[in-house]
Amino acid sequence: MRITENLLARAVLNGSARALSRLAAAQQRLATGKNFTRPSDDPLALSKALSMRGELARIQAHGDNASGAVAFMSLTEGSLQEISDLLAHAKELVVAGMNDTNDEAGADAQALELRSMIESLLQLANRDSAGRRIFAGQSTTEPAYSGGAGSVVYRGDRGELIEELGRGLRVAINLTGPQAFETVSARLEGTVDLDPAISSITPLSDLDRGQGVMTGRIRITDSNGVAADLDLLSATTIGDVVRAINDAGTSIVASIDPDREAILLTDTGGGSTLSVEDLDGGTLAADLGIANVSDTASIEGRDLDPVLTENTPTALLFRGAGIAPGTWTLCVGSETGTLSAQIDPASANTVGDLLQMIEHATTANGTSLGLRAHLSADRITLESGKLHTTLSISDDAAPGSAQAMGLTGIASPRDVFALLEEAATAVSARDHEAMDRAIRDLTSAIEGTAGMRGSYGSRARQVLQLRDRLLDEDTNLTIRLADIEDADLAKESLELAQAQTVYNAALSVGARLYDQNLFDYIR
Amino acid sequence: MPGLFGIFELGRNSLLAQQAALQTAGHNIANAATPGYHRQRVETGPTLPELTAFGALGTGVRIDTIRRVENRFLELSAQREIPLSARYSARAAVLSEAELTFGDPAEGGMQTFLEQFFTAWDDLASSPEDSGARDTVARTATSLVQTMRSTRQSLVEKRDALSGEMRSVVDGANRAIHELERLNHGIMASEARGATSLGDLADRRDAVIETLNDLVGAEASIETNGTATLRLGGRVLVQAGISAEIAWDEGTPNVPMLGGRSLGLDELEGRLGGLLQARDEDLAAAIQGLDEFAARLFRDVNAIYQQGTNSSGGSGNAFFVSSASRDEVTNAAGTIALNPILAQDPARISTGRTSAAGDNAIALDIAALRSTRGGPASLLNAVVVDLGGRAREANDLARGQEIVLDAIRAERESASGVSLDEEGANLLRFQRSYQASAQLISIADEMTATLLAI
Repeated sequence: MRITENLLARAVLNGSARALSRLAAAQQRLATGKNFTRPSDDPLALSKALSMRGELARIQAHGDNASGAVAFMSLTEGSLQEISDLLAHAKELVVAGMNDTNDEAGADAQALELRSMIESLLQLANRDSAGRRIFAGQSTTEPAYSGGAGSVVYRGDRGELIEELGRGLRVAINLTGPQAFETVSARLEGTVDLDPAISSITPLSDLDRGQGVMTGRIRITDSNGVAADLDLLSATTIGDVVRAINDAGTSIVASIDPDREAILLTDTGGGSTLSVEDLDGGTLAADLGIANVSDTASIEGRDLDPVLTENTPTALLFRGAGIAPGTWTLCVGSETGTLSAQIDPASANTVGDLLQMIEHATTANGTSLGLRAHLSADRITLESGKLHTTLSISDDAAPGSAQAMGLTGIASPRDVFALLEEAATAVSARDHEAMDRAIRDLTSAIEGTAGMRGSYGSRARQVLQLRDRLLDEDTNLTIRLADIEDADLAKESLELAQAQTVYNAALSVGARLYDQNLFDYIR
Repeated sequence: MPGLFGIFELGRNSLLAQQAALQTAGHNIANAATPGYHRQRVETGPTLPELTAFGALGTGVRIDTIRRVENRFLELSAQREIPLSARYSARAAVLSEAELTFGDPAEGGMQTFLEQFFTAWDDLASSPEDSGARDTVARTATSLVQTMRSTRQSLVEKRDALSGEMRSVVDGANRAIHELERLNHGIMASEARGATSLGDLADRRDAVIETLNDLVGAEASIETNGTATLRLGGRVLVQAGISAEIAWDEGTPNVPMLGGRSLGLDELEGRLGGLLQARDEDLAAAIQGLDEFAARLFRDVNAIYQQGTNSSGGSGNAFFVSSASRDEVTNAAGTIALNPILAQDPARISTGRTSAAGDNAIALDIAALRSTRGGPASLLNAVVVDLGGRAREANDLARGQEIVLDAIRAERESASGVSLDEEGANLLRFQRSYQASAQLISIADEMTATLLAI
């Protein structure tokens, strides 16, 4: 190839320009610390970096959400803990109020403390996290509950506070007032005394509403003057007493009266005088209402009023009328739907069977309703075993047996404010029955609160894990983004040094090119 | 018949030939650095020999022609590659500037504003009661739409500036056309005078052709008489005795015209082609992409927002408003604005479907738009990446074409350039020949004196 001066000059120029642009590029990467500063530097990497940057912004925003949610939820969890503690203390106070040695002043003090707890609960219920009322549902700007002791009303709604903690992952972070405070299970109390009759198998200890009668020895004398001393110390049932009298060898015949309330003694000896008396200072005959001297040939004892127990045969209920035929439909309602089950109370032999039947009630597809049933004061009481549910019973016949037992209406869950108010009233009135109920309710509320803490706590832990994961993802993605975007300083420094060397070489070669030519030698 | 005076004649011719060769070497040296200069060489040949009984007797030297050294193949290659190179580098220069319109993609670019907008909604979703969070949503929305409008404005200005630049390219091309026409005229005249070589006239002609190729990319051919013929899109631009001007169509689509017809992208090369492509393809695509992004943002955000109810119970109307009609994409980025009612009173921004203070359903859904596949964010990314890709493509093409052109120019320089060493050697050679010829005359003179002294 023919080489000319212009060709050399061009080569030098091109070479040094190329070296210079390489130097400038390396220098720019070093100065900015970035692999590319304009989209055309590396469109492919930019595309990746842009979508990663978008993802990073999303993760950071969700991480912020999760941190806020964690704060909110730990405050709510702490509040639930305080509610539990308050209720436990309230229960202690009511139990103390039950103590027989408790005097009026003590009861007043306990009632006062119970009422002050309502104020504490109210403050708790109206707590806020960074200005948001935590128990008010979505009505976060207004107090969740208003009113004072005896008239506390929920002002919030049932809305959820939602946080987005991942792409499409939304979590409700709040508990509404009803969820946190309506923890007393719905209870359907029978309003009608089931008034069981007696039968030969009725235990003596069930009589007089379960106070029982003291056994002892009695003497019976018939109209012919034949007397018998009966040792009934080991008698346990009405039947034992009746049988002992009938087997005594007198002309007195004992039976259960047609009303099935009392023992009836009739003299069959032809005379009309008969008498029954307690011996040894006992009270059995008197308690049975047969300690008497009669000249009408019969003695009718008093209404023995046996208590309702699980062993009571259903046939004895309603003074022996028994349970009317017909089925019950049990309904447990919640926000998510209603569960219902049918049972046939008339097929139960004993009251215990009926209770079992209620507790084991299942829907047509086998889901348990989770009811609890128990007896109190000759009445049947049903309680929903699930939090925040309503409870109702309907008969298929009219009038049905449920209505006859007074199990009507729809029972709703109650809040702890009303419960504390009831407890305070019961304690100050020293009403043992009411205190008893309050203790049961408080126990139910403590269990209910514990249940809420369990389910809410697992939600809070999930949010905590999500936050940690988001922090991890943030770190990982930042590193990956840096891999793409950030210049490798060591590599770039080397590149810069090389580019500098090449540039210097190009310049020094160029400078020497024109040192000499032929004209230097032409003389 | 050989004679003494024949030697005088021979010497004289030789002196003239060496003188011409020396002058040409001097001309080459003088123009060593002139761009487009082709070295010239005096081509000499022996004069007709004198036939004698003992054979042909040489009678000296004569100048055949002064040749301009050129490799026609290389000239043609250069003329083919120059228009492409000019086209690519003109487009690359425009796009390198245009791609910065969207700001630094890493920070502070439009993406950042979009992220801030979505993050503001996300924060609002976390505290829908907070008036500060509403202010932030309104502020980031305003910044975003302002950035969109100014970015679009800037792209449109760049696009419009290209039209002006193209007009000045067309003016330059027209000047070159006139010069080429004059050169064609001169070439024909010199041919008429019987010149066998055009020399510097051809240099000038080739330089003008190169200029025209650089500007508009014409298809050039050299006629046997040395005149140039140039065609553009199959239509004659310059021919011996004829020339046409490139006109400019002021209306839409605002393009150059030749012979009453507009010139399209497939007919133009050179800077004009590059600028036209940048204007009608690259910048148009960027503006269109930006508008599609704006229309999408407008539609998606409003579709969610309109389900909302603000805390004072008012139903949410529109978050973004536009002076364009509802589903219009054209100029969407230039007309989008935050609903002035909300801009004035951010407290009226709805966050939920109900009036409950804690209802954040709307805010959640709008914030979730950030990661919707094919959503506004990915549309915006696509616009930036697409423009960057175009700039990259134009840069790569320009750089590659520059290398091709450089190689051809180097070849051409190698063939036609002036080598000072070569000219220096020639100077010595011709000087010695001149001295020897003079010596010949001096000897012939002495011989004549000798003869006369007899």
